[in-house]
Amino acid sequence: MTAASIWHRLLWKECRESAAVLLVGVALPLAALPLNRHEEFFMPAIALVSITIALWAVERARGLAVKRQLLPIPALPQWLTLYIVPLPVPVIAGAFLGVAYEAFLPGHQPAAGALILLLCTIFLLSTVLTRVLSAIPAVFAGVLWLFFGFDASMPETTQYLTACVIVGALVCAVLWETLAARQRYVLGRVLVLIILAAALGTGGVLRTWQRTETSEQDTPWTAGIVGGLISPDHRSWVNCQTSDALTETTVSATVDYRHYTADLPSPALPLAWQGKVAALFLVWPARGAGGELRRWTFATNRWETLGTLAVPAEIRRPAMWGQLGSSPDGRYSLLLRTPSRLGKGVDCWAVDLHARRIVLAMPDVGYYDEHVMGLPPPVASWCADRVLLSGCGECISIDYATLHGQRVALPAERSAR
Amino acid sequence: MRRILWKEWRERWWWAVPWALAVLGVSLFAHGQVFCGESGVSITPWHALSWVPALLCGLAAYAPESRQARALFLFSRPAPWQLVLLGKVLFGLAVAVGVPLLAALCMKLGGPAPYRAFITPATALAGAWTIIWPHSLIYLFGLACSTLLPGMAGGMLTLAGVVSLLAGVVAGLLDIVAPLLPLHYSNAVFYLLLTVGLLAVLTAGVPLARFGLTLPVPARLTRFTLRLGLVLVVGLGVGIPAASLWGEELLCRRVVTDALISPHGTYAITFPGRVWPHFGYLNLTEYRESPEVSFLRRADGKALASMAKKDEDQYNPPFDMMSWHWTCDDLAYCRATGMGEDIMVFTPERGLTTIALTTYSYREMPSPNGRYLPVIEYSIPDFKRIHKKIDPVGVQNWSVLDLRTGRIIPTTLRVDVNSGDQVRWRSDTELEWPEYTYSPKAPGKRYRERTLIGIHVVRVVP
Repeated sequence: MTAASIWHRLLWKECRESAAVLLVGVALPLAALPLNRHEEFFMPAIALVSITIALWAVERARGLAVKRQLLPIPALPQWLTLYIVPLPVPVIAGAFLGVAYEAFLPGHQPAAGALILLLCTIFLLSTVLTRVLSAIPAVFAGVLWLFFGFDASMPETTQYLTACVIVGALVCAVLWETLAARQRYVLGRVLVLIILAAALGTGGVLRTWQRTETSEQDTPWTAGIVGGLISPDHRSWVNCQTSDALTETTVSATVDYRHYTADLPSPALPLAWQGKVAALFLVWPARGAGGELRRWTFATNRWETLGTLAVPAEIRRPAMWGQLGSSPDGRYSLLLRTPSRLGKGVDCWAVDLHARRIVLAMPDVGYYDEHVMGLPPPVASWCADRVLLSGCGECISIDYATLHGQRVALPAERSAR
Repeated sequence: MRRILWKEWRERWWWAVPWALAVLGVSLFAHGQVFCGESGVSITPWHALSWVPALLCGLAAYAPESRQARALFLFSRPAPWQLVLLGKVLFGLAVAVGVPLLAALCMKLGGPAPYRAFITPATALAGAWTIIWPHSLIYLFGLACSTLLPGMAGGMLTLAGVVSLLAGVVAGLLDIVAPLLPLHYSNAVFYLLLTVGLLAVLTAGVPLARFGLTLPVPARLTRFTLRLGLVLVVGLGVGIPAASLWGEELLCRRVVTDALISPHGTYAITFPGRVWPHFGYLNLTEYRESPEVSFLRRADGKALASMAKKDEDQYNPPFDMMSWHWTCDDLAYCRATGMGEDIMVFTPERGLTTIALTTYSYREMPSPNGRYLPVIEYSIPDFKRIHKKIDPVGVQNWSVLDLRTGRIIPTTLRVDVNSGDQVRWRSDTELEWPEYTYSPKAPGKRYRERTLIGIHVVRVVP
């Protein structure tokens, strides 16, 4: 066979074998169009296309290992048809996904470039690892890359990482085929793994730098404390605003049309009013096992440490805190923490200022999450023996004695069924 | 059966072990709250980490038998095809069912201490169930798809093709009949496609497990496509009328009663609304405006007042939970329907009343005792003067609305509009507002410095 004939047959074979994968890559992004649910279908479509590409790459590389060694194909066309010629498939599939993403989900960041790089990386990683190791680690690497190689909220921050891995995988592909031809398999495997690790490390550093750059421009903060507490007579209020790095808090108060401010070198959250002259705060010291209970006297700007609250380990790490209110007598205070220690959602913590304890009153309160952005935090009704939380899709009763919450049904709920 | 399960384990432990570890990891560290009595509303993207191995494990079910004529050898053994199929189903279900139960047990025994108090057997089982059923369905989907084309890549192509067909072509066709569906279109279509699609893939794929694996691929493809198409046509043909008749009743059985409880806990405003069930990460929950609002006495659940919505399409503030506000006197108020500033008030004694505020606008600032609400009388000349920013700016005439009686009490309070936002209640009967002096604007500063020189107090309630 002539070289032209070999190329002709190889290309025809690639076209036949790739057509179904290409069809999937094009059809899946468009499949959500009639359902008009692009937000929900976008991530599953990316996942299905990525897994298809990974499995397809593995099957191609395995087929080469089993059969094509026996065929009279020169090394260069073989290498090119294994690694380079099929690349239009992930490129076209990624472009379709990206264009669909930008067209049907306006307001999101452009993702076509990131998705093309993601699918190309999955293809090359799976192919190289199948050739160097075996099919199963290759499938795992390809599928796992889906979770680390793409960030839907900031697609452009993964481009350097994926570009590094693509370059590393291509270098590995050249190296492995060269060493494998000389039957130096062990050296080849070691070198390939080292190069891939180096590419991952370099890409990781670049991604961190890129995320930092992006977050400085426009990224909502994920940690911080926003606490506002209105006095029982609704005439005064205190506010806390903690910096993103949780290094300092600006505390302000308005009492009788007079404004007071103070800066604290720690995260803080208002807990209760003490008349009209002072307020109690929970302050997280920079280093320490517990939270400090401090009293701020507005007029003199004096801070007193009244003691410590035993803060459980679950609420020591950075998170976003909110204030839900304090009881009219100032003894109890309810705090909201998001995300929950166990996942998403909001946990409600109760503080007993007399007993100096803080306990989890109810995990994952209501529908106060990203699915229902319009819903406000729960409303607290302070009764004689318990506080009732409502207005969040459910009703929660927290007993003062135990500070343990339980969901309660309203009579109307039963009658409405 | 034991030998078949052992065969399955040897062939697929590569997929089953990561699947189990992913379920354990996600359940314990990313979504443990599901065992604490929450119904799984907050689904994290980390769930995909366990769904992907479940899918791969399903796709690997018949992958070894479907390549290189291995099926011929398998079916020459003295094991019926049902046993082989049962072994593959049981192997996956053992992971899909067993591991979430194990995760629930781990959470109860070794989870974070504050959360353990909320884990009961019932909540743990309910939480495990929310993990079990998606994984089981995904595994079965993969298993049925693995019977058609050789290898895992073949199974993945089948799956992706079926999903494309269902979501794209079938949903596009359904779009034509959408106007005939008297229920929320995309949710109903989604559930219909999910049910019929799973049924179709199982019906098309499982029979191939009976000697179909020994057929050439084109023959398998023909049989698979015919069965898939037949079930889709029949399923959608029956499903569309059924969904239009009973879909909403069947799917929206879950009633979520949003409620606002009064500050003393005596009364509650309830907004019963039915929601669509969740489907994991594809959360189709949609809050619909409540069709009715009820005012209850919580002690005995007696309805003191209620109203039903008449026009479904028009936004109606009284039916929106966030429009209602309780005062500390257990009175509730809300902006009434219409263009004006009319106010709807609930009192336990008088029930629900609408107070016409034809020449007033109210401030959401009830008195400390919760009985009075300030209202501002506006006049057209004042409004024009304010709008055109003509100095001196307008003067607001403040009055007080007695929420219990619905009576407007005139006062002597006159405040210029600059100070209007600063008016506060000083006591149950007095309003106050500050008076400032302003320094000349310094160069480079946008605002003038102001100094409080006094607070004016006016008695507004006799």
